[in-house]
Amino acid sequence: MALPNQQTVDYPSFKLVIVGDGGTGKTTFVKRHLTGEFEKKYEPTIGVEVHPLDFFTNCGKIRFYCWDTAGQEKFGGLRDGYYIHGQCAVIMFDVTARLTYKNVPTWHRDLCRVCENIPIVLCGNKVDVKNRQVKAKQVTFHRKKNLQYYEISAKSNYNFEKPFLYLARKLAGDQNLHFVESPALAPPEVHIDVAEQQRNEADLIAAAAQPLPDDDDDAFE
Amino acid sequence: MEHENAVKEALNALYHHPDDTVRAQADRWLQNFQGTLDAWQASYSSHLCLGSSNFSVADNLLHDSSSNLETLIFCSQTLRSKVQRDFEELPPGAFQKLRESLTVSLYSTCFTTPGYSCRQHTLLKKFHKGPPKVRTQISIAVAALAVHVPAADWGDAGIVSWLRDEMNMHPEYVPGFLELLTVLPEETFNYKIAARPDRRRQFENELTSQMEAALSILTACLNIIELKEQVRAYLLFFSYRVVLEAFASWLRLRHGIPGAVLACHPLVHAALSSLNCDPLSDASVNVISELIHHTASPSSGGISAQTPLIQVIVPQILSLKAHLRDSSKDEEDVKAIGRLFADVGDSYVELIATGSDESMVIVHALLEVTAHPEFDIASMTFNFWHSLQLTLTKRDSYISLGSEASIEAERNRRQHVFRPAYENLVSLVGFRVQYPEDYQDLSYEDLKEFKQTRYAVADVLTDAASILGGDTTLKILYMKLLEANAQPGNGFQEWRPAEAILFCIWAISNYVSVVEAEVMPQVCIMDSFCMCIFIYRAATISFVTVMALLQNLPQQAQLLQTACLLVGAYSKWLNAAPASVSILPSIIRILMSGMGASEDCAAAAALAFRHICDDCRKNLCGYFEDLFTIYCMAINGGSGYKVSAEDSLNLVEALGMVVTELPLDQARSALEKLCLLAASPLEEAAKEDLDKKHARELTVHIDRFAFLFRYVNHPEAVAAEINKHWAIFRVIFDARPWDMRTMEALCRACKYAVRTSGRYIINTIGEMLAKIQFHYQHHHQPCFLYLSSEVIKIFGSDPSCADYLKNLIETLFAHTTCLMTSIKEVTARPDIADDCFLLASRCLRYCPHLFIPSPIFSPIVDCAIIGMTVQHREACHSILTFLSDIFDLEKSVNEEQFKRIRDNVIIPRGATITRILISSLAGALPSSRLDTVTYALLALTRTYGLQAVGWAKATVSLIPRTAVTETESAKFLQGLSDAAYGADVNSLIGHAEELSDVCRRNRTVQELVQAALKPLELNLVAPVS
Repeated sequence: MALPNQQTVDYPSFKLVIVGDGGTGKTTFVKRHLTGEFEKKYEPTIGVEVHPLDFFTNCGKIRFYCWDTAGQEKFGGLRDGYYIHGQCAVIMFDVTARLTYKNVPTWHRDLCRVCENIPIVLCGNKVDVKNRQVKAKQVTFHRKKNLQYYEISAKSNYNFEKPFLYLARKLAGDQNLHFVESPALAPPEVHIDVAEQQRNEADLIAAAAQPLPDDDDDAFE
Repeated sequence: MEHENAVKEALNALYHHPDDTVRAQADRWLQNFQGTLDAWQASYSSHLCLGSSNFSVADNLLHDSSSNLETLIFCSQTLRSKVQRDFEELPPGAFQKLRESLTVSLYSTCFTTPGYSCRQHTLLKKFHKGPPKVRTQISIAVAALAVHVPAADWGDAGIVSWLRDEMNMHPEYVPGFLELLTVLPEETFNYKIAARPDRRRQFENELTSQMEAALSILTACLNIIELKEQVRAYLLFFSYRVVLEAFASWLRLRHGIPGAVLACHPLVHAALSSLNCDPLSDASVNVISELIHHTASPSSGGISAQTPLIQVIVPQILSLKAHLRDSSKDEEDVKAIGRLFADVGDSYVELIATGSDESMVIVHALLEVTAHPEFDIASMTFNFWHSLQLTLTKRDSYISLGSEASIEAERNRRQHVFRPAYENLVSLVGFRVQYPEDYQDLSYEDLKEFKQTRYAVADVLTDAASILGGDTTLKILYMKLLEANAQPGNGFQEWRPAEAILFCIWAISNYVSVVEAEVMPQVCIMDSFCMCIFIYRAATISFVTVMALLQNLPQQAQLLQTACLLVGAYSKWLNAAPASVSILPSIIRILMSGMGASEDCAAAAALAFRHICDDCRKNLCGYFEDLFTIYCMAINGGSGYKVSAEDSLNLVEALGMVVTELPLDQARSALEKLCLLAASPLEEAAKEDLDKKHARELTVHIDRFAFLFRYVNHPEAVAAEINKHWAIFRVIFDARPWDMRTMEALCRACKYAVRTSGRYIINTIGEMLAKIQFHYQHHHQPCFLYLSSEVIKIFGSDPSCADYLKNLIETLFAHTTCLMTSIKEVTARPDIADDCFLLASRCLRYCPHLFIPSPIFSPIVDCAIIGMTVQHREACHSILTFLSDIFDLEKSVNEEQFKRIRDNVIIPRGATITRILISSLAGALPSSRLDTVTYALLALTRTYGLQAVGWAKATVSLIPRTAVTETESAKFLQGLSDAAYGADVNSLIGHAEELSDVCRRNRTVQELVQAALKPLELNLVAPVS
């Protein structure tokens, strides 16, 4: 079946739909790829914003047309009207806000009702933040078919390309596809150290067992 | 047809036009089209000719043979949304016609035998194959209708029996009915359907009471399929899938169906037999997964009630084991099988933990999944091993046994049963951390993924160590190390197995006992190979064997890196070991060679230094000079050291901890030397144009100051140093107040100086604060606010600081209130809003006597009111918390005069605040903020009692009755009233959630409510100064 997307470039392009609760970092993630900037402000997306993202692979160039959709219900616009012709998707949630993970099945369902059998990446964003509510171990939704899970942080560029790489491999049907040139990025805002993260987690568990200290001690850490 | 063409054109532009502006325009046009669908018309014919209303446009397009797929899907979505959202506009009783027309549309999307024509009207050949997506959307529309219309009004005892009757009359439309049956349970909790909370609850009850009827319909469908054997194979398969998907959907309702019933249910049997299909039926996997979750769900009566079903499904799943290793199987199929195993493990962990014979069969099966070569498959079981470990070790699992003795006995028994499994686990996961042969050719991203894998495995090893005990696990790993290095041969490849095991030993460091018990840990350092290893003075392992073993290990960067990490992780043992003092120099030499090997290695070495200096600080006191020399080399890149600026901070911390152990006079001179090292480059830089430097050139050194001030716990010495170097700090403040990074670094350093020095810093404080309050007025850096916050915390109650602290907060807040005069400004500066109100909360707590009587108090409250509806999560939270803190003032402050001032500020603003809070609940803020908003409302109500309820009443009365009924308002106000008299926050949250649902049920209502409540119209009492 011919791809319904207008080929405005002469290399393969795919429509990528990005969904998830408001404030989980969808727009920031896309912008990070586009311009390298990390946007601190929060301006809810209204309806949809479409951005082309190019990647260079060992099989040539590819483009993802990223349909960055609104997460907040009141700004939804056409909502699942934007999903039509979607060929791959990203579902974003915020690891510091458990409610956003609980809503993942709803986003997934709405997506699959319009796009059958497309590869989807589940992204747990904001892993740079100390107080995680959803640990990697607790994420099980991606056990479903055609779903992959990645921890990401738009702030620190952690696993920056992974979602796109997975989707590219699935769409091309080639597990050996890889990116050959990384787009230049602005230096990360914070530096992630997984061992440090683990220590933090262990500290948190230990701290939970202690009596409460002055509650605003680490407000400005 | 004009409108219809316009829609098609707009859709074409939205999905395909290359120009962004054209696309955005089409988007807006279509939104407008959807939004202005005319109100339902009373005269409703089955032909749905409703003139030129947009509703009929959409409907016409759905039946237009020239419509392409995107038009069909879009129009069906449009109709669906209309039914979901705007049902309440439909005249009563008119729903039947709507149902009829939707049903006809549903029929038209079904597979039918060729030549059949609908008894109603236009059935298009095009739909014979039935675009499934259109069918789905129309089903959702019918389901929405069912949510809106009570069963009594629907007739036929509710939608399920209605559906059954329809199916009996028109078996050829089975696909459509099955789709409807599938979506019905899903739509119960769909908040896009504008049903009110009471009706939604009613629908849930109606549906669950029809569960049995639904399942019997599905069973009947199986039989129909079985009867129609002449139907082509793919149709059979297709219909089977839909039946199973529908079944899964009903199971997800989690309405307890007795296990005994399900155990012999034909639908369950159908799903289980489909498991053996190739390719694997996705629908059957989903059903089995739902069955597993169903059995574990509390609403199903718990696992004991579901045993009959569990005993049926588990063996079937276990029989799939062989397929895991079948290389001819599709990767998604293998994943699906792995998923089922993982689901079994996760859901039945408590059952498995009993250690029965049946449990062990499952455990062994799971071990096989863990052994799968594909990491994505194997890692699905990691959560199980973790949950099992928790269940086995935590006391709560055994509490029902009563006595300590029986608890202890059972815990030991169970852990004993699982020891072999966890021992096995150690081997199974251990190999995954081994560097692949071609690791140097891995891409950057793949290498990162490999490292993540290693950390995931490290977690599993800690689970094993929790059960086996750290010492035992260590022994297992050590034996593997011996094995690995007993392999003959030489060459560079040898290091990989050894490094893998050292990594594993690193992973379990927290579990190995520090106190010597039966085995005595000893450290043996092999100078010539820069390796360290733990050996046991146990009879079985001889020292000589170890020495021989180590001779063969090569020098290698990764190996050295892991060795450094390991050394750091076992720092507590190094400290406890009797030979500690003599060993430490050798350890340090290892780390020094690590620092020169590679940047990654240097990072590990620096980290290890930190741990060692932390845990062995007393023993290292005498080595300060040596450590200082190492540090100098590290920061200057001497001796080929490759320590990055960031990692050097670990060394600063390390040194700081050693200096802390020194007596005061030695500490003073040590700190002086260290600070000079940080200061000199800054002073050099100051000779040139500081303005033009890159921030990093300065922050590298300022951060070192910060770490020194943080970790050298000698208040006097730290105070002396910051006093001495204040001059250069001041110069940098003045040269680069516009540069956020440098200012943050400076503020961080000052913060730590203040924290550590406490009283001793009192002389410098005044200047520090004068500096930041001056620069804040021109450059408003949020870090100035948080530094102030730290100072307030420590000195807030000190009378000798009162004057300049008062001056500080008045200046900072005055400037901030001038800056943030509207919601737009707050939105543009969420960092400042966040830090400003965090500071304000601190002032309330630590210096209320300076803050509350100050003329700045009411303006900052006004500023908070302005910013209450900011969308940014943290800023919003800080603002609402500040307001809550003011309402809760009694909790921390007893002074009457402060409470009076507070009341004089809040009471005139109370009505406005309440109005904004309620409109935030009703939609001005995302529903994820409900808790924070509700708490603020609660705090306000607790303090002002009936007066606050009065404000709420006035607010709620502004909302039109079409949006919120009298009953619904009354319910909410009653909840608030109860809260005023001591009900806890959770009950109020329940009421707030309901009000929120009602007000957000569709866009029309939401806009109506916001237009009535006008949260941005502030009616502030005094002008913002």
